[in-house]
Amino acid sequence: MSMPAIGPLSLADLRAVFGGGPGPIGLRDYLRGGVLVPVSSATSAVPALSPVSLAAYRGARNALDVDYEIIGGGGGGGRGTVNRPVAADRCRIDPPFAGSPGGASRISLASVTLAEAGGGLGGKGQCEAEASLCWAVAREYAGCPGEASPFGPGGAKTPANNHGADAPPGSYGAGGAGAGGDNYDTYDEPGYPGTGGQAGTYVTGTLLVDVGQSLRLQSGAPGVGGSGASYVGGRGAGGLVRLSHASRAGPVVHQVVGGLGADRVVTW
Amino acid sequence: MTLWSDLAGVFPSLERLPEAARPHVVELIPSARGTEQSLCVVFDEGEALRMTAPEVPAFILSLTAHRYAVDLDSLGTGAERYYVDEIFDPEVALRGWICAGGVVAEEKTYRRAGPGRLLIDRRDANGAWLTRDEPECVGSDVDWSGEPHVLESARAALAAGEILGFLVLKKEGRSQSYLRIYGVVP
Repeated sequence: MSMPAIGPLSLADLRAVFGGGPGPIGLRDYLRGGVLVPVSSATSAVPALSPVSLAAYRGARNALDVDYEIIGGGGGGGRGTVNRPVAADRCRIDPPFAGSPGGASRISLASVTLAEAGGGLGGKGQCEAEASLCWAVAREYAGCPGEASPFGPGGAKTPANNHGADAPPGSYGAGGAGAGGDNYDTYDEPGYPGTGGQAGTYVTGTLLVDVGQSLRLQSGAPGVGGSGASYVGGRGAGGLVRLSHASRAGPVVHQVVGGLGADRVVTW
Repeated sequence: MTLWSDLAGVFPSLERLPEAARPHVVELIPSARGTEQSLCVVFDEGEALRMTAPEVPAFILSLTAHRYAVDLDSLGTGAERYYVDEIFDPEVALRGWICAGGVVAEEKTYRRAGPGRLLIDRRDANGAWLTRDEPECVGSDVDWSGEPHVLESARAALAAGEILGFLVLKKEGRSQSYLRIYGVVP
């Protein structure tokens, strides 16, 4: 709720917008940074000290600057095989070969999305051509690591004949590793490893949130690894939504992270 | 060509390989069964196998695979050995057949049993078990029981970048060993 932008202003308008007790009020009760008027971009014209006039409140709004950072869930790693796949089944980006993408993270007000960050794409399944780019030596047939996020590394590079490593849970939004393939063994031809899942999109910004307004925070679910073959791709890390606001009493932080209970309503 | 000519000196059957089939050779597998030695060639297509062994049963050529193989020294003996890699069943690495004049007498299934180890099942033409779970595993160079010169040739070829690598395999409890030479450029 905002103070009128045009027309006359009154103490009643101040009480309606910023609150205040039932008793007599004065402008000194509505100084910026006091109990009733928050320090925010919506109250920048309001003085923090007397003297103050009603004109200073024109268009002011009882709202908070809330910083946010959001990252979508990390993609799962692609699957690996013990057999060399036929040409049509190499470097597949569809399930169950590829890892699934991570879910989107978002902040919404009622049905309106205020900010959103997409999940990372899943890694490709049984893809020697691209997985070889992460090998330290030729014919290593390792699965490639998942993409790191600003919060930490993705799933670690995975040796041949192993399931892909999951992204560490605290590496919000990071990708899972591709599963290992299979190197020359007995009479075997090499199986093809998977590539790592991508990290979710990372977005930061500031929202102007009315005091008393409820925001819904949803963090993206992690992508799961490609499956159905010998080696399953690693799981991505869940997404994150973090809101922070510097109040008079100190920083206020609300966050949700991907996985169970990743949906939360916060009232300011 | 050093490896090729070295092996041809030990296995004259290699020189009888049809010219058109040679570019399709991807592996060579000398075998030593007791005192007998033979050479298996592995092709990257079925047509090269057909050119080399016209009596190969048609069903083998119809299988979808990356590699088709024949023991050159078994041809014309009444116990021809054919092999095809299995690419769809992750439990199985390889399938093999012993045929007499194009008729299957025995079928072998090479099942994976962990890294470096296979278990081989054999059935006769009627599907009756001959043996089951016969182990074969990756060994070291000292397990090669055939002509030492063959192993030396493989080592030299690897050092010269002529091949991608080689592995020695052996049957457990039997005097049989195999030298799988892969990544061959004929």
